Amino acid sequence: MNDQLVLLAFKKACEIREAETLIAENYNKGYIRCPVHLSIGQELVPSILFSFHDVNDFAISTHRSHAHYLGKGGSLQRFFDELHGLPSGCSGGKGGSMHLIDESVGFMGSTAIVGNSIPVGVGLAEAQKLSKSKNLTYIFLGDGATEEGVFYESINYAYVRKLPCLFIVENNEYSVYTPLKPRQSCLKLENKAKAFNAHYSQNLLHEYKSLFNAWSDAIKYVKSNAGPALIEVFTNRKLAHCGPEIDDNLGYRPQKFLSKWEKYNILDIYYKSLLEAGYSKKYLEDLISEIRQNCTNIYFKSEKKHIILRGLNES
Amino acid sequence: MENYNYTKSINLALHENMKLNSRSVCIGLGINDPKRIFGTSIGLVEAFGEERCIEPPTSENALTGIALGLALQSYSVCLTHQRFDFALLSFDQLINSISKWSFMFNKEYKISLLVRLIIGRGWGQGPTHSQSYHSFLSSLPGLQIYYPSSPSSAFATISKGMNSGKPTIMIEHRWLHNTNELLDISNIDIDIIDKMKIIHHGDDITIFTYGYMVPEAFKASQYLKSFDIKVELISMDNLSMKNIDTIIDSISKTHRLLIIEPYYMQCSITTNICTEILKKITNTNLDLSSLEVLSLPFENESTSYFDTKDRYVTWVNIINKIADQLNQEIPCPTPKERPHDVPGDWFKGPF
Ligand SMILES: Cc1ncc(C[n+]2csc(CCOP(=O)(O)OP(=O)(O)O)c2C)c(N)n1
Ligand SMILES: [Mg+2]
Repeated sequence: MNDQLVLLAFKKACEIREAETLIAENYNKGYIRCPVHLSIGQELVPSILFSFHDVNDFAISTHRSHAHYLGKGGSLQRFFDELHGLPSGCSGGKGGSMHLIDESVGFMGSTAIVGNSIPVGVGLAEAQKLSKSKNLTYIFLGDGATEEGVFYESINYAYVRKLPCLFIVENNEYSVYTPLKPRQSCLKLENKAKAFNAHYSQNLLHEYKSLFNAWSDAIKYVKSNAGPALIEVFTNRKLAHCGPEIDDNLGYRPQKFLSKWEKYNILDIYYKSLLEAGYSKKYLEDLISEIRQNCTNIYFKSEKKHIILRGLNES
Repeated sequence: MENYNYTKSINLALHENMKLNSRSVCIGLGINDPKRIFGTSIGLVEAFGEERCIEPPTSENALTGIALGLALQSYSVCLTHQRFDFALLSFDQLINSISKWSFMFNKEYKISLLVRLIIGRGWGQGPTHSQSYHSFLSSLPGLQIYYPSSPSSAFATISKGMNSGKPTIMIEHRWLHNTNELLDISNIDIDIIDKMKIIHHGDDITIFTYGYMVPEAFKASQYLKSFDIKVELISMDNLSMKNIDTIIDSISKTHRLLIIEPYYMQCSITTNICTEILKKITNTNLDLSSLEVLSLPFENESTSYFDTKDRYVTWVNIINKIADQLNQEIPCPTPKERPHDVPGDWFKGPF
């Protein structure tokens, strides 16, 4: 991963963090009126996705899909508009936070029922195979979704048909408030993926370079008609499962777990690498402010449209 | 007598049934988590332990079959889904197994299995968090379906479902969770949910509805009373019940009928009831020209605040409709301004 790609990934990660932070900070105003599952803390995967940007690759995602949509290059304005229930949103306001789409960049939809979009992604990959496309389909899911039967049915089919699909599992070790242990007998997804002959790799502590390499290998693998690959990325969501709050006061995640992840904030990791690569602090800070300013402008355009459409007085 | 809300009465019913029967278990995603399924499972795991209060993997279809296996071994099971939409994954077990296990083996198994399905509404629940196919479920022989509209009927449904030996579905609307009722909780007649209920007496017009529309219709009935319009409001909790005599008696008196279906009219339980009414219409003198129906528009639910403004029927819509039906001028009430997508000030989102 050369420095330019690291910079690109850093910019995308910053954009996602900014976008999600704006949503969280402004949520309680009541202009975004739908459940939101934010990805603050989980910016690694979508930023690496962006460094392999190809609009002809497809992607499918879940209830927590803001970051995947943006990482695939989805329109930021249409995203914010969607959250604000506006007709100009990426799904015309009808889908809201959990049903995003931007086909112009290959983001083929995210859905809210756990496991629901997984086989759809396999079907997109089947279409790619049948039409002899050179592209692949990303299937994003969480650790909880691997408990649904449809996950196993889908990965099995993907191998039997040797489909170009790349499953990316973001394992944040929680499904809502419930940790892995009471949910999964065999805590190793590795064993399950390998049992289905999927090419497997994992990423433990936000090591972005090794994720980039594993990603690149997985792309080559699935494009060689060998069958599906699965990358498991351990990560951490900072906020509540749903909504804008920090809910660690509820005590469902051990302090040790939380402090571990404090040390692996992906934005800090990229920042440090870029400093080491010779980018100046000033350059990086200016970049961050520029991204922040841009996201803020776009966000408040959506908010303003919502306020006007509702006939509320602007405060 | 004490004031209980819907959530609390579910919680008390679960506690009581778990205490009375040591072969009873509760299963459901979130049952032991900090939010305790909107507060309905508070204290259960502390009282009965993790062996009997099971926080399961996200595997709805398997869980439903597992619940059947347990019930076949004379366990009483309450399986809860935080949304009806999530339980759609379990329709294989629900329909191909549970509804016909006794029938296909020509046996009379006692299957005390209660499945609670919570319905979402408002705050952008949208296309996949607000669905309610209770009418379809009520079309399946072998299941009993309840849609309790009050805290006491919620209590009774839990008790019945966990003890009746018949697979039971409880439809639980999120907007009913905070409704209140004065109750003697130790003295609830659980058979009350198997009869049609007259909730408001009157002889000018009959309203038939059920589920979360009952409080709205009640509010409308009370408002109309102050204009000397006497509404007879009839509802049911048991959607598998076929006896409609209460409605027939009422319309024989009022000759006017307003039917309110809480979900889509298409293939609904209320269309069935209309057919039943038709069969007995000759003696009722029902004025068919005044027959009206209110329901949701036949269209998937949008997440957008702007698209859902007029989707749900409110007490104000009911009043206006009745004014039309009776051809009377009734001042339209001006309710306290509240966004249409929240049930009350108690609702804080985000789910
Ligand atoms: C079939 C189904 N069951 C339950 C839910 C409720 N639900 C929404 S998100 C979620 C947790 C999913 O966890 P995971 O896959 O690990 O994703 P994460 O939220 O951690 O990103 C659950 C149980 C649902 N949406 N669909
Ligand atoms: Mg998770």
